[in-house]
Amino acid sequence: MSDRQLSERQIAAALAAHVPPAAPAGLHERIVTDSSTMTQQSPLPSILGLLFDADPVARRRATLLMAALLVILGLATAVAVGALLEQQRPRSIDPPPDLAAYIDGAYRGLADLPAFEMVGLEQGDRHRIHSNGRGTIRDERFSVNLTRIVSKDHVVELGLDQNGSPTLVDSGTSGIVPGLEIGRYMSLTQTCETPPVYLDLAVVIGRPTHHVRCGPREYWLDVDTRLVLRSAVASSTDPPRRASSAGHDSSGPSPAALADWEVTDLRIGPQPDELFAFAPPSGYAVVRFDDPACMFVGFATCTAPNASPASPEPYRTPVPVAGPDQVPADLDGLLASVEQAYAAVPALELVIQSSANRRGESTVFGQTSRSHHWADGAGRFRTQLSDSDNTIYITTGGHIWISYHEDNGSTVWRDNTGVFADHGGVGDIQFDFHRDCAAGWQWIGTELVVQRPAVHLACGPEDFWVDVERRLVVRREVRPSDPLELVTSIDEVVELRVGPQPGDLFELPPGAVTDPPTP
Amino acid sequence: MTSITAREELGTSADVALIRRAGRGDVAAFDALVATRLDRCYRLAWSILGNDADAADATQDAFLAAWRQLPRLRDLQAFDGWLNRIVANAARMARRHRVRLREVQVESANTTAPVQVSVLSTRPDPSPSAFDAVAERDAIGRAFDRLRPDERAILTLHHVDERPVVEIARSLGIPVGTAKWRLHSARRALERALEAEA
Repeated sequence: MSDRQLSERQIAAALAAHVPPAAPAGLHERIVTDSSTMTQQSPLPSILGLLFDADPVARRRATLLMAALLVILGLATAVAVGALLEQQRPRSIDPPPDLAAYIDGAYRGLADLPAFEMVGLEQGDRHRIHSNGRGTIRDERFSVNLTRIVSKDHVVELGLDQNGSPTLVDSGTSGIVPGLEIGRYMSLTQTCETPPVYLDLAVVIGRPTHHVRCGPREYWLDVDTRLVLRSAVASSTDPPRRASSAGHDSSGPSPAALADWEVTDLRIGPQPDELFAFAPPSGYAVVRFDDPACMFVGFATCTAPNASPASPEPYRTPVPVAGPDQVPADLDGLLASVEQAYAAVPALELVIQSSANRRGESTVFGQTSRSHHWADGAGRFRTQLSDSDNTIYITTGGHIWISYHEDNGSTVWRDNTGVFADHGGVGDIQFDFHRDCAAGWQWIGTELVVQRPAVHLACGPEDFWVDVERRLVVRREVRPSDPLELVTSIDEVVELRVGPQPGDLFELPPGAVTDPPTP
Repeated sequence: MTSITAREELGTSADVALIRRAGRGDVAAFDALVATRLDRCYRLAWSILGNDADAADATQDAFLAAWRQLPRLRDLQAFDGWLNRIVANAARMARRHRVRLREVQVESANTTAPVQVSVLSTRPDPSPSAFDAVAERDAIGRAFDRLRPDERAILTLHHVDERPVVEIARSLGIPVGTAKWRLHSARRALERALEAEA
């Protein structure tokens, strides 16, 4: 630190006296004279102008910017050229180093199929399949004279109704990646039951394939596209045979393997757009999935409508409760208390809404349904579905009675107890909760469901929300574990009233006809 | 300082018109721009170079470079900072050229020797009252000559030309914070040089 402190005024006064107050006489004139004889440079466009700026700082910045741009341009060019070369480069015919990952990649590749035309035999049923390379597939099944055009957002089927009239059934949107349907023909699954085994490099329809065994199944995976050109399953009962009907194979199925999928022709390349049109061809009647007539035209899609409602509801997730949150001190104890809660369900009334959400979308997918549930607190339950028959389940006295509406207008109560007891009782409100979790329970947080705090827990692809006070599950979401499945199912309590319920809800109506007859 | 800033703002729109005209080859407009900036630019060059002839040459080179490049100046509001940077750069280039020449000819202790900074804490207190005002100014002037060119430039811009720190930062092509720090550092260097001079 210096001893001498100078004030602003001292410095200013001293420097003003020291530094020349003005430029020497004549300098101004020289500058103006020279400038009048000197040509100015013409403006340059933006970056070039900066590169030649008289200001050294601007020039340096522009130079650095230009260098950075050139580097980026060079990298982008290298990436583009690399990708192009990668596309053109023949894929390796060497055995894949990680066979399990290779098979998984083939399965996931069904979500991003290239453009092709393929003819294949699925257990003797001949298909001609077109892919446009942009997520739409046309599948013609000759045995039933049915064509299905499917994308992630639209599914239609073209065929003949029961009267032989050309009909298009519009089924709305799909809950799966379209390529998954082809994967099913190929019996291709994401993972093998046992570690996969590489058998040999084989030629199918003139194309090199990796012949692998995956559990009891064998696949011939096209080296170029990873499409399954042949799939066979070992059979201990059928006599050994060669599955190929295409000939010129270097390798057939192993002895005692039976081919259930075989491609007989594959042409990779662009396909005509008109093959993928969802509009009805001329002369076709159109039936929507929700038209009652659909049930009579004989198409499978009518029984499984997936269309979105006209004004789709937003898909909502529960919001966290206000204030600080922390992991429950005793998670095991919490899980045990849920089991205990269902062992002694109090008297209550609740409404469960079931809906779905397609991956990445903000609205509810397909249709929602509701079911109404009552418990009397003494082990009796009543469930009422919102189906067309308002089917009722009454669990009482060791029976699960289900209301059946007969064709003659009468109602018969049939006992569903035993191996067919897929509905009724506490199971209807338990959301398939299970205390054990192989993946390990994870605490997510505390959130609001039906305006009540609920602990949010996750077990693998399942999420559960447990009411903090009542220890009842009030919401469950199940995400698809398959990457080609798109739909998450959601069951949620939307109304909950705890308290005494009318006793007659848990009894068969007076004079009810039962099957078998009650004693 | 406030009055200077206000004056500059008042003059901005008129200056921009002059700059635009000069950029289209109007020598009279350039003449007017030179007239209002020549002394300041000369002092800046002088503070870096330390002698009149070199400072005059550097100033002339800088103005002529500015004249040639003016059509390519996009932000006319930034003219003064742009011009100052050209002047400072021309002066630095001239100084580098001059040092190379002297290395070839004769070593000059005054201009090329590193500044000797010595702090003598045992020195008697040189309070301002003990100095004659003129003697003090001379001492400060000599101490100023011992500073590095960039320190002289920033002190001149601030204390002689009363340029705001923001403009100084623009002139020297450095961030405002750096300009403040350099200004502070230059003042400390001046004080140390003054003690060494005494």
